Amino acid sequence: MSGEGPTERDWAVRTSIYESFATTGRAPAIGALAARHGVTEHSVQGSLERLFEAHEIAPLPGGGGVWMANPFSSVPTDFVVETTEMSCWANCAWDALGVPAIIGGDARIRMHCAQSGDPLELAVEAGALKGDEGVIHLVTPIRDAWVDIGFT
Amino acid sequence: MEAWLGETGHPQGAVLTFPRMWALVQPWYAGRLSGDWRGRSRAKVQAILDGVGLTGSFWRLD
Repeated sequence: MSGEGPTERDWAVRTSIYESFATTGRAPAIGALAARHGVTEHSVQGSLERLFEAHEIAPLPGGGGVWMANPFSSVPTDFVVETTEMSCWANCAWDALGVPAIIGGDARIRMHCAQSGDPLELAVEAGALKGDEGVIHLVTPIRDAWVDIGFT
Repeated sequence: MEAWLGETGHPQGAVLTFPRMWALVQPWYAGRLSGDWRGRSRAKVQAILDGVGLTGSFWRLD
């Protein structure tokens, strides 16, 4: 842990990550981030590490790139969100609602009940949430969310 | 939900309805796509949680 906060370059990398997710539903590759910012892939890895320390993004284990940029997931999950522009995975039910919140606009959200396995469908239309009823249960107290963000 | 807690062994945490979560994610994710985003202080995060009525110990950052 460097103990330093993200640099301005790191924040710029973060912005690029979020732009990619918001427009394509997918994380940018390390190489694409390096090319866009005129740095090496090693430098991008350093940015990801500092952004992770700041609880801004979560990298894939082993240095493979971005895993999470909340509300977005780079890997398939049960939480599928479709906007007018793209389809993406969210990390959890909280993040599934977070996708239309962060992007704005309408969306369709699909997930399954953890208890019954029944499909749940929600929609956001003109800023209003519609669809199946249910509850979201959160296990990890908010102060511990980033102790193990994958579990959270 | 009780059955799920029993099967998984997880303690009961916080339970939110979808509408309550929708109310939370608006301020929670506001501004995060902006190139000007530089993070959010703990005080501001707590204020967001307080603002949607999430004030129990589960929601305390300190």
